[in-house]
Formats: sequence, C-alpha cells, structure tokens
Amino acid sequence: MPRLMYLGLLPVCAAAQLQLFVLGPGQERPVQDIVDLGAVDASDSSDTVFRVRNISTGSATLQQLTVAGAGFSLAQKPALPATIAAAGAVEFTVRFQPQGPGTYSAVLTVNAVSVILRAAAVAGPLLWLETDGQPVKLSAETAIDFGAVELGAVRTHSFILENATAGVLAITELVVSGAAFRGPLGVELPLRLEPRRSASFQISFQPAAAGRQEGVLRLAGRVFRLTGEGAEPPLPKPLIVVDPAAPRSGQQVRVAIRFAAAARGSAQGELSLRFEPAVQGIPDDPAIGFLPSAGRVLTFSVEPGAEAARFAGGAEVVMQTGTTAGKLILSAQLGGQAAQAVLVLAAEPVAIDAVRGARNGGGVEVSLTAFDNTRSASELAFTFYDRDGRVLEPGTISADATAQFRRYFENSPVGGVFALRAQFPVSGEAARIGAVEVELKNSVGATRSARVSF
Amino acid sequence: MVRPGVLLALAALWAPAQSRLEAPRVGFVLDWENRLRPLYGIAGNFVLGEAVAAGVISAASSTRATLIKLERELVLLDAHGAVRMRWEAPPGGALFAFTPAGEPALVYFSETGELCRIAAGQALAPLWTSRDWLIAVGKPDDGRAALIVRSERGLVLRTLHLASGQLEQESLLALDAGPAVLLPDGLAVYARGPELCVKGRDESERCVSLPTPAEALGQLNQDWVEIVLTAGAGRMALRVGTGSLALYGLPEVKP
Repeated sequence: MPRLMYLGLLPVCAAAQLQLFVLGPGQERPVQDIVDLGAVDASDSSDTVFRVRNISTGSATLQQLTVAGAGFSLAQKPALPATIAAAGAVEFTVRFQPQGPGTYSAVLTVNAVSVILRAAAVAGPLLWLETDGQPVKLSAETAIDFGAVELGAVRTHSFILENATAGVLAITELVVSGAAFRGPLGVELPLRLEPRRSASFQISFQPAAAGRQEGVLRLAGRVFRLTGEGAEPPLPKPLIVVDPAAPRSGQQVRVAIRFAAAARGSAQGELSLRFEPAVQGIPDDPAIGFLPSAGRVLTFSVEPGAEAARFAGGAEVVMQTGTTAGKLILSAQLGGQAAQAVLVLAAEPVAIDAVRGARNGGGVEVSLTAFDNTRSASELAFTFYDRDGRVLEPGTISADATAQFRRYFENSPVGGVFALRAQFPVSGEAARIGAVEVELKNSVGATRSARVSF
Repeated sequence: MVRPGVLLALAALWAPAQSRLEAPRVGFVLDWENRLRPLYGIAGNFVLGEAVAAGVISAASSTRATLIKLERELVLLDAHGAVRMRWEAPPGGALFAFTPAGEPALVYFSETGELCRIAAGQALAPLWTSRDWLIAVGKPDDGRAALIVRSERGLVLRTLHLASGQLEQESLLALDAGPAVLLPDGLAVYARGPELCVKGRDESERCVSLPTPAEALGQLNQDWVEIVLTAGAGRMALRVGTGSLALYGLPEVKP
C-alpha cells in the first residue's frame, strides 16, 4: 500500500516554478530539505506519494526526476520531460524496500533541486491478521479495517506477532490509540519473543458514534492504521395502528405507530395523510387532518427501546376523518422503512348531528346540523306532531332541495357538513306544536331524525 | 292526523326561500394571538375559520351571538361574526351570560366588579358591583343572576336578585375546583382535578376525565364548552347537550 506523505521542495525548482509536496490523507504538505519516511519492518516496504506543483502563471517542464540511494526506487513516475500547466501538478511514488535492518537515505532530485530522503528498517516482529483462520501479513501503514459495526456492538480482530529473525526480540511498544478502539488485549509488555516463536493479541472496535472511526496501532516504531465504521442500528419496520380500525366519516380517531420489535436506535420519521375523495370535482375537505394543527404531515421520534413512535403530544395523534367519502391513505416513513394504511370511508346516508325546534313569531323554526359524505342530498321531509304525539295537518311536508344542496356543496369550505334552518309559518296556535321529525335523502338512502320536542 | 280546524295549520308547502343552508358554526374561539376565529363543523369534525377580530381579551358565544371584550370596548357580534353593537367598557377581562334563546344578557367586568345588563340597541345597564372572586356568570331567568364564586369554602353557586343583587340562594358546587362556566340552561360546568364535571339544576353531576387538568373554560354555545388544557396539551370541546358527555379534540392555529 502506498505510504502517503508530501514534501515541499524548498527552495523550489527551476526558477521558482515548481514546488514539491508530500501527500497525506486528504491533504498535501510542503516539507523541508530532509524528508523522513519513517520506519518499516526489514522485510517490508512502503510507498510515498509526492506531488510536483507548478506555482507559476505559465507552464513549466519537469525534466529530471531521480532517486539515488540503496533501498529507494521510483515506483511510479510521469514520462519525462513532462509539461505542467500553470497551477497544474504531477505525482510520483517513491518506494522504500530495505534489504535488511538499518538506516537508509537517498537523494531525490527534481530538476535542479535535491532533497534528502531518510528511512529506517527495523528487525521487528512480523504482524499477521487472522481472518477466518487464514493469517494475512500486514505492512506498515496498512489500514486494518474492522468494517461496519452497530453502535454499542463490538468487533474484535486477532493478530499474531512472529519473530522471524535469528535473535530474541524484546517488544516494548505495542500501543493502540483511537476512541473507538481498545487493545492490545491478551498480551503483556514488555514481550520477549524467542526466534521462530509467535504471540497473539486482540484489538476491539466498539464505536460510540456513527460514521468513520480511525485509530492507530504502533508496533516497535511502525504504524498501522485502524479504521472502522460506526453504524446506526437498523430501524424497526413501522406499523400504522388506527383506533377504531375501520373508521367512518365524521369521526376523530387515534393513530399510533408501533414497531414489530423494540427500536435499537433513535431516529425521526414522518407520518403523512393523503385523501382521495370518492366524489369528483368538489373542494378539498379541510377537516381531514391531524389535530391540533389540522395538517396532513407530522413528524415522530423513535427512542432506543421504544415499541412505538412518539408524537409531539404523546404516543398517539388524533385524526379527523372529515365528511367526504373516499380513501384516507396514511404513510409512515422511518429511514428506509415504510408502512401504509388505507382507510376506506364508505358513502353513507346523511348523518344527522343535532336537530332543534323553536317557536318564533308566527311560526316554528327547525334547525339541524348534519353531514352528507356523498354530497348528493336531495329530498327533505318534515313531520310535525302535537303535544299528544299525533301528526299535524298537512302531514309530512316534503321538498326537493337537490339544487340548493348542489350549490352549497360546490362552494362549501367545510366539507360535507351543513346547517339547515327551515322556517314554517303557522296559522293557529303554534304552542300546540309538540315535536318534529326530519328526514333527508341522498344517493345512498334516507335518514330520519329522532323526534325532537319544541 | 290532527285537522287544521282543531289545532293549527302549517304552511301547506315548505318553501326553499324560507330555508337557509350554511356552514354549521359551533362558536368562536381565541387563537394564540388573541384573535377571534369561527369554529365550524359538527361533533368530531371541526374546522377553524379566518379571524374576525383581534386583541380580544375575553369571549363567549351562543348560537345567535358572540360577546367579546377588547381593551376598552365590549362588542356584540352576530352569528356570522359581524358587529351588531359596541359599548365603551372598563379595561380588563369580562364574564358573559346569555339567555336560553342565545341572546346576550349580562356582562361582568372583572377589573371593576361591575355587573351590567346587555340588550341589543341599548346602553349597558349597570346593576350592581361585586367584590367577590367571580369566575362565571349566568342568567337562569328574567329576574335572577347566577354566579359561580371562588370562596374559602370552594366554588360556590349563588343565585341573586338581578335588580338588587340580594342573595337568594347559595350552594357549594365543589371543594377544590378550577375554572368554571355557567351555561344558559342552568348547567354549571367546572374543572375538578383531572375531571370536568357538569352539574344540573337538579344537583345531578356528570363527570368526564381530561388528558390534563383544565386551565380555562369558555362557552362555545348552549351545548358546547371549550376547554384549554394545562401544560400546552391543546384544546378540547365538551358537548353537554346530549345525554352523555362527549369530548373532542379541537384544531388550533399555532405559531
């Protein structure tokens, strides 16, 4: 794996047109005359990426690029001469591959300017990662990836230290750093490792936060990167629960969101409501919505251990079904999980909410409130009774109010509800009128009120 | 069938011209900015309308009228929210009473303790002044006023001679109760802990549990009471006109 550093060439090359950098993770950094490439195991190698940047306003030419010194080579370089546009750059890689333990140096020349490269090779233990019983030899700067681990969970990797040299190795540096990493476990320092012997240890990854986590393992002067991903636990699948389960028009029902299993993380979701009226070409029914806002979109939260979602007002939210026949489509979205519930509001005969009768002046007034979720109300019939319960002349008084209802519903801003006030002139003694019954018809059928006393 | 000559004769035909179809109005409510909004709908199906007045301190409605108290005015609105009458008034809140027919009857100005008779088209008629802690006013009949007073004994229901203010009757309503309202037909509605109770003239009491205790009550009309719940738990409506009490959630306009 390439060893990423960057080196600034000071002074810069060729009439101050080119500047040299060493690349590191996510950055480039100018360096001084001497570049320390660190230590590797004597049996290992490391790659370092350099960048030559043209800092002038005109193009520049990279003519010479060499590295001279035992153990160093150019593993990757551009074809020379290379023209570098203004503000452009080219990259090359220096490989350090020692022939044995010791300190090494080389001269890196870029056009007319040279810098010293230094590196060390130590006779240290070999480091192996055990994966599925198959050891993999690790190089310095190797990223040891623990993969994605749920928050709070632990993933442990096992390692083997091997003394492949002919002498005894005394290991005093074996250090793990990084908030999400723990170790080394199962080993005590200093560790005396006889020739051809090995020892094992473990490192655990236990992320407390979501996202990429990084750490470092330092072993006898060498550095191995530790990486892992903190992953939010999977969100539970929501289930929309409506009480009553089969609501009708004109109701306030309770809506809750339950989970198949207790949630293992926290999250926010959204509950939305869509209405498809069975009656076409009518204004929207504004009563349909969640209370208290009367809106059709709500957010809910999920806490670890919860078996149900929580709304601003508690574990349930009240929903008005309105007074128009059709379909209420409830949708819950929680991360990648979704649920839907379709509630069919069947067409019904006119539903009477209240009827009142009152005497006034020379007559009686009958007022009623009701809703017609089909918006097709047509015939009205009033039957008056005397105080003894006998039907009064002229018997049932009927009228076809189809046109009036159609006009009202075409512009109604409140759905299918209506208030009807009907005035009846009376000749005679109005005080003898005792009660009234009202009947209304729509496309589904007829509804008759209870007998209401005056 | 009863013959016309015996009793009465109704109009032979019901005439559509003598009828009216409109959006049913439950009453008027105050929103979070003290604006007065009509509340349309029927039980379980409410819709808030656009504001018709602002800067409202107190309000109460019947099916026929609404009384609102502004900083320096008492205003009578018709059933549609249009202004019918204005009177100068002392600052502060007010309590209102309607007749069983829904006409405005009494106003009590909390700051001055003054009780006045209201009649459309006439000046306010001062009756008498009370220094008690009144929390509800009613008008059970032509000659009397009913008051709910918070006293050391608890909530007390008093009936007084309307003209003189002389006490005619007093009974204990509840020992430890919160807000209360007197409805035109003589029902006393009051909050008692987590319950809302309705006491009739026959002393019968019906109660219903609330999600949280009530902070304030208001008359929406003869059959409906608005409940403002504590802890920002929202608003509800209680229907008292039917046999059993029924509670419903109310829509709100929020910031």
